[in-house]
Amino acid sequence: MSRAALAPQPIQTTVLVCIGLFLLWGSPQGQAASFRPALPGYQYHFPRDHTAHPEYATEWWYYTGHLQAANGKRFGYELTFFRIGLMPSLAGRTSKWATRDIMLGHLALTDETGNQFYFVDRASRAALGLAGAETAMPHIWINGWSLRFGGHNSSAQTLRATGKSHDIEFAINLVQHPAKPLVIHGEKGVSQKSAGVGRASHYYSFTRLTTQGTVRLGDQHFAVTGQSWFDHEFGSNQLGKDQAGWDWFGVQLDDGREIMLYHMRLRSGGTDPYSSGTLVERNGKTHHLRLQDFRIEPLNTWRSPVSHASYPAHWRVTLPREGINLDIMPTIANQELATQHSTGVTYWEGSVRVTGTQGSRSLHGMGYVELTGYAGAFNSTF
Amino acid sequence: MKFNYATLKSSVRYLLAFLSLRYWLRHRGAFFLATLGVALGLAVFVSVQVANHSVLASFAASLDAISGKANLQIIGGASGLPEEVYTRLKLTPDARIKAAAPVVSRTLYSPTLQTSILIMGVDPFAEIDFRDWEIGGESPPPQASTRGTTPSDQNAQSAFLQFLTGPHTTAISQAMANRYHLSIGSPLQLYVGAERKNFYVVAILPNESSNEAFGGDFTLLDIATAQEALAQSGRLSQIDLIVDEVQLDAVKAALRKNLPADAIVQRPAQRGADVSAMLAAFQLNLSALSCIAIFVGAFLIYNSIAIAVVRRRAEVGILRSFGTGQSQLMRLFLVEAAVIGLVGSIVGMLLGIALAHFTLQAVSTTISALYIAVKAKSLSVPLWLWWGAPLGGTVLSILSALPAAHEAANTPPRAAMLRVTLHQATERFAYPMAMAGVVSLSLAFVLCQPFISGRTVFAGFAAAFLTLSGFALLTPVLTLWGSRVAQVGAGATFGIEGTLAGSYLRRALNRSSLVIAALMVSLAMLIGLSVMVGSFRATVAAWVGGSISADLYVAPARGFAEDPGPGLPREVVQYVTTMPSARFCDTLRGADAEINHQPIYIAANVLPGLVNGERKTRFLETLYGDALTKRAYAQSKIILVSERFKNLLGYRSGQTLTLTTPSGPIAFLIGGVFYDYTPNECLLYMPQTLYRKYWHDYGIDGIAVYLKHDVSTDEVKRELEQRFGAKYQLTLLPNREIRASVFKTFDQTFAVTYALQLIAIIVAAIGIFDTLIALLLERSRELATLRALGASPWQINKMTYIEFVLIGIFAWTIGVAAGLCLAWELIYVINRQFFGWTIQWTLQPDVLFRALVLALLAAIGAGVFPARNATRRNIAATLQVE
Repeated sequence: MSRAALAPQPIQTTVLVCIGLFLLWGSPQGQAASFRPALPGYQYHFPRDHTAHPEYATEWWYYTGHLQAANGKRFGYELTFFRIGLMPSLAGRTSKWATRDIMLGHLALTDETGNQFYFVDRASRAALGLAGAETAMPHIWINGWSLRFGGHNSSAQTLRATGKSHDIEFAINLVQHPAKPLVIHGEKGVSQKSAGVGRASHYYSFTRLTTQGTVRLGDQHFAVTGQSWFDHEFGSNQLGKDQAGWDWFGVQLDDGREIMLYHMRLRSGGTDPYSSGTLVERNGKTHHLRLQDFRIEPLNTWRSPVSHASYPAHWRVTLPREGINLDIMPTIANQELATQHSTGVTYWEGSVRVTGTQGSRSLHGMGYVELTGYAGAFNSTF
Repeated sequence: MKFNYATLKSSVRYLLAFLSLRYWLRHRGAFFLATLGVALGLAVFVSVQVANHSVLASFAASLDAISGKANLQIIGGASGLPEEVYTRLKLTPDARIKAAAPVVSRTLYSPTLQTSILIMGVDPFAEIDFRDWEIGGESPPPQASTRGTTPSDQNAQSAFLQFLTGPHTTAISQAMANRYHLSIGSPLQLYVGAERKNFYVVAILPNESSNEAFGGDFTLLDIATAQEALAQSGRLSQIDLIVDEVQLDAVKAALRKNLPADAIVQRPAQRGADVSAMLAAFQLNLSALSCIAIFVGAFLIYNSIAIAVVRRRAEVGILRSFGTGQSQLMRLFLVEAAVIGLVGSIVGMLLGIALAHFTLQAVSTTISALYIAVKAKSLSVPLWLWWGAPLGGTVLSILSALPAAHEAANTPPRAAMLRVTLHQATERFAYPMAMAGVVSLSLAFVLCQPFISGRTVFAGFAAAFLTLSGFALLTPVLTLWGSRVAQVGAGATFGIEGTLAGSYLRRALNRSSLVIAALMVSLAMLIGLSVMVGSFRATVAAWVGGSISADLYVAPARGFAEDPGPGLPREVVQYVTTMPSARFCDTLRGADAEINHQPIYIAANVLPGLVNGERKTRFLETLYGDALTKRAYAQSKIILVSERFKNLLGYRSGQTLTLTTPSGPIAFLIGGVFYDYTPNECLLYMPQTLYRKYWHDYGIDGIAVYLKHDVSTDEVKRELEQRFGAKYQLTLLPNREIRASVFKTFDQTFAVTYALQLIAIIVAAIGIFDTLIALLLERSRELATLRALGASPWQINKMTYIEFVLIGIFAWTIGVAAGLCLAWELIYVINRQFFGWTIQWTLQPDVLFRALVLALLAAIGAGVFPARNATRRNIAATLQVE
């Protein structure tokens, strides 16, 4: 699902928020119409569809995962690349700095054992080789950060990113291999986000990737293994003006199944009927979940000492038809990102621990939750 | 009652204070004039100091605003930096470099706003670590959305995206918006070379630093927009860096290795220090000129106290005979002087700050024309001035009053009652003073010798000061001698009144020599500066006649005054250089460079007129003789430098000059030194083929067209206007216009000098007025006696005016001598040192004549009121004093 970190709010005075808003609410200068909307009937082709789709206004490649070092230290991580099309074409410009796309990146590392959260974000124009997303092969990069699909059938995915948070340098260097086939969300090739033609995206995931690589935190280097989740989504103008934000859940159960759910929250306080989800069986078979097929109940809240926003912090999730009851708890409370260098939006995205039952069977798993639209952007600059 | 010394002492003090107060209250006019003298003298000095400080402060503020948090900068040479330098930095990260941001910047002229604007092209995504622009931080004003089809109709949240994507969008400072009434959607036109570029405002920058940058005349562009607007795609002006402070030097060294040879790596603050050093000499020059007003002001104070002494001579005698101590009396006068000084300097301080608004404008215009583009809009008063000026004014006042106070205190009671003694005192001192004057002049002469004046800029000013002081010290003795001659001469011509006038001049030597000295100093200044400026103009005229030889000059809109950027459009160059009406053309490409922090201007030209003799360049020295040197230049074997270049940078013909070019450091042979008076950087002529070879720059900034003899310049001008006028903004200057424009620039450069000179003369005029009152006052008893003996008021008036005319003539005579000495120092010492120019000495007699008229007018004009006063005095009352 749409995993962009966007807080819809009244017209903001800062430009970064504008970028954030354009991620989903359409591109500037009324040119959204010239970008292609995501419409039903889209035919996916891989590996082509791993590459960039400049004909759509917004696109992102999104990794979240859980890693474990040999010494038992546990990490959660998030690495996202966003592409924002400013205009459909770039005509008559001679400067190489003139750009039709902006690339944004967010990197977060949750030290679950050390109860610390690190994040960094960056932005760049997709010009002069500084940043970009290629259309010929899956290669996406911002300055030194990169995502590259390679190897046999483009199945190996290499991630590289580094940053500095709280004066501590941290980096991830990971290779991913799909443990299960990719999953296309929604119906007829589109994941509808709200009422209206084109208010949708093309959305697919690798819900389970085996991950290997290294994590660096300060002077310490950790060889890590684990599991990751990859989302790739592209579309134009997909959200409605009445939507205030969303709660997204990606759960990997130890029994080999995965569940993706999202609630689109309305400004009026309710939930958009187009909210949906996907249940992925052990063998890769998928079940589309409509709003009435699942329930998400917040049980507790957490107040950010930085943004003073109040986020839900503990949930009960039920899939009544399947008899699945899940209890979802953040591994650490503070996993809030204030992305001053890119989107300028504050959101919560963090690793969670999952326990639950299905009938008499107990369930365990890990996951990631994204909560947007709870905090106003603060201190966004330039 | 028991005798109490303390009581007596305090009562004496009380008495003295009372007497002082009563005197000054009664002579409010005298107090006013004395304080005005101090105030004006100091005001000029203060205004120059404030202007100097404000220019530097605003440059520093502008630099801070533009540099943001950068602690290191890579600054491109004349043609900028290739943008690959930046991408290489970004894509091969060095952990020591925390952030990097590209900048494209230039000052451009806006014809619609009638001013130059600093434009800065940035990559907003790289800016975040450096500068806080808040583009789009300001919502558009409500009316913007009702204006139909303007770009401002766009949603407020898209301001930034318009800024980023629109090829003609800009964000302007709040100060600029206020100053020129611009709002979102307003158009903004700028000249880039010969092209008019149209932009519109999409955002107003709310941050304070954009108001500081270039005095607020600041426009921010997206880097792509800036590159395209400046026709500078692929090039950056500079790269800002945030580098680990500890590793800064190591990073600096590492960076240098991979940069074009003409790029500089330095701290932003270094630029401020360089500019400050560059302007130091110019600012010192102004300070020195402003001191002249203080110098004249000091005369006024001496004068006022002396008058006060004279007027209270009887009082002083009485006090002395009552046993008032000498030191008490002396203190009394010094305290009075201190009060005058303090009040005057406080008024002067305030007046100076008010005056600084004008001086600042003049100073920053001159600096922008001569050195570097600065815009100083707000005044910044240096902290030391707040206490330094009042203290200095007070101390100066006390020092100026010292002779008169000493005189008063040391006169025996009996003599104090008689008014003639003071004159005798001065007559007694006239010879020692003259000796001091001779010493002072000799010292000035020594200071002017190249072995001293070549070393320090102070020598020239010290010499000028000593010259004026020397002549001032010589004034009593010259007046003494002169009045003897005048007494005879005037007696023969005007009868008894003439004889008396001449004799008074001598007998009132203290007063008359003072007023003559004050007037003399002003006249000397006037003559000195006029002769210097006149000589300079004549020299420039001769130079312009020789070197501006083409019939028509074609340049981009702003001529050569602004950074021309891309220069003339290719089709214009192509057409003009091949049009049939032209016999031949010279083309010029200019580039700025710096040698030892001294800005130089490289003029890459062909100079065909040099070889065929149509351009009469005069050489100071050549390597192979004039003819062969010209040929060597035509063959691109040598470069030529201006005299200013030689004098300021110390290069001679025959030496090689190494310039850092984009192709690395290259040594060029200097084949000759030519005379040049462009009020600009040090000039260097480089054969265009050499320039193109090493700079890889094929642009053309200007064309000098030599037309066929039967072709009318105006017709060609019209034709070019018709052909290109709609498309490009060209400056087409026929020969006579470019000559006129040279003089216009010249006069602008000297505007500050003219203003300072005017103020010095006003101060002197006040002094003369003041002194003449004293002169007559002292003599009131004699005048009354003459009236009692039967002299008519007409006779008294005649005598007084003859005396004033004599004063004028004396002051003028000595002033001419002092003025010519001053002119010599200005031309051969001070100017050469500051500007590196040889000015050919030209003396127009009308300068001396005008000074004479002025001297007479000053003496007579200032004398009208005191003369009338003298004849109206009550004879009986005046005589009764004795």
